[in-house]
Amino acid sequence: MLKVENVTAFYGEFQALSNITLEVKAGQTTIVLGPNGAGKTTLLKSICGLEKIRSGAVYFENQRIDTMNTHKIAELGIALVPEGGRLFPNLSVYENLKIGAYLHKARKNFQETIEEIYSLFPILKERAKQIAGSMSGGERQMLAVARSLMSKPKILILDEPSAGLAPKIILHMFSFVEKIKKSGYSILLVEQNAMKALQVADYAYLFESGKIVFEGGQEDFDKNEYIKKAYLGL
Amino acid sequence: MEQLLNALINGILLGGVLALLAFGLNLIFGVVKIIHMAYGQFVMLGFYIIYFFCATLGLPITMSVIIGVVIMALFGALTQLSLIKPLLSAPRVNQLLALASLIIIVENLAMFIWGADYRGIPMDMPIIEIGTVFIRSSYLFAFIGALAVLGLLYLFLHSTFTGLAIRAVAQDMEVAKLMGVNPGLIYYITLMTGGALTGVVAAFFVPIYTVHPHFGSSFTIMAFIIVVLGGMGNLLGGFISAFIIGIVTSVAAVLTTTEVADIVVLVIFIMVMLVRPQGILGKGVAT
Repeated sequence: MLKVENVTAFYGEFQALSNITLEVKAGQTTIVLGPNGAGKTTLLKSICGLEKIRSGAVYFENQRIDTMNTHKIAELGIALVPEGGRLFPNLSVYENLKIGAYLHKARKNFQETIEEIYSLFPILKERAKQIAGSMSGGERQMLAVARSLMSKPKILILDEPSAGLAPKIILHMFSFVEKIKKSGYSILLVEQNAMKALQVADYAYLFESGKIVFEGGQEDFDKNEYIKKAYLGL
Repeated sequence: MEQLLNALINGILLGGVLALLAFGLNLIFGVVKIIHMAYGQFVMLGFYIIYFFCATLGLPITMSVIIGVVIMALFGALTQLSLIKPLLSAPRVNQLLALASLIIIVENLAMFIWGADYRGIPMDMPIIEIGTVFIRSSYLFAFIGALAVLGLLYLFLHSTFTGLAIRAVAQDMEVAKLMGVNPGLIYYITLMTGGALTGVVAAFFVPIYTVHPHFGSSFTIMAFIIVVLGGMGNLLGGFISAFIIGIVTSVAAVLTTTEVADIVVLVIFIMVMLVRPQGILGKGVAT
């Protein structure tokens, strides 16, 4: 579904990605693990067209997308939830959800979709009129995910959804991810919280310094004591 | 006492018109992060265009206004295309100088076409007398019209997808793009809205003023003061500060003279800036 081929990208002068090749298969949850500065966020920005790549290519459903503008990439059905959620702080909860349905296809079904979202996240209905900036960290992250779902994307990309959240809220977050996965979405999840993330993963990549140092399914990570000790702190 | 009441009411009426004047400048700053230095000059140009169609060509005033508003919206788009778009990632000072050059271009263009004479469209607008209060109907008309237009703009920004996208781009352009918003399109819509508003403000000025090539400069400064006082890019702040400026100008003029009133306004402005440099409702962020 989503293919990243031999991608090299720079963050300023610093080479953030070198020769990365990875794939997200339809209906699967793929995760990218790795410490801070491993190039995880740069990877996501490259996929969404927020950073231009130096070499290589990104394909979505066999269409090359690395030369496209971000809003065009969004139209194809790729939705990124940025790190920290990045809500529009001065818009209400309802308005944040509404802007999530900005794409032409999504506008027509706006009423239907928002009811679906409200049944998935009932608290957002209660808080509909509240200004997004005044919500707690966990609620914001939830709203950010809900906002992305409003466009009915084909693939949902999450950048560190657990960052800065309390442990109890993190559990909530991952149960949401599980829920979303069960409703059939393809997911690309970037996380530092390896243990939690591996539980929801169909396939995982481990990044370090802009390179993939290990990849495989849950069992492969489970079996590899060295990787577990050296990188995942398990 | 009666004089003060009169001044207060006229100040409120003035405030409504100033609120509309400052709105476009504020919206453009909030969304595109650019200061439209020639905003008042655009109002002047709009006035001339309405004058041209009405007084020179003899079209009815309503039609002249509609044509004027449309042409000014196109001028807004042209500004985006020819000046702002090429300079979006240029240093601030270059943007500022380029837009300041528009002041000279528009003023000289007006001087070239219409000369330095004062021009106006004579209109019979009576003075309304309620007890001891005297209200010029031209001011009342402008006030009601300005509030109606502001109301429409509020609805546009709050209930349409495009309006929401404009606010989203103002708050976080990168994330707006992720939602599928094309910021280039939003910039055009914003500049065209701002341009159309200069035409609308010009239309409300027609019964009140006569126009000349330097008519716009004081309104650019006035709009800028209102926007900064309210907090740059903050539309509600701009609305409130427009009424403060309107009332202070009007009341101070009655208590002293018009010249002193201008000084009073500027002193209040400077004092607020010293205490709250981010403006009344500003967030104190440099962007």
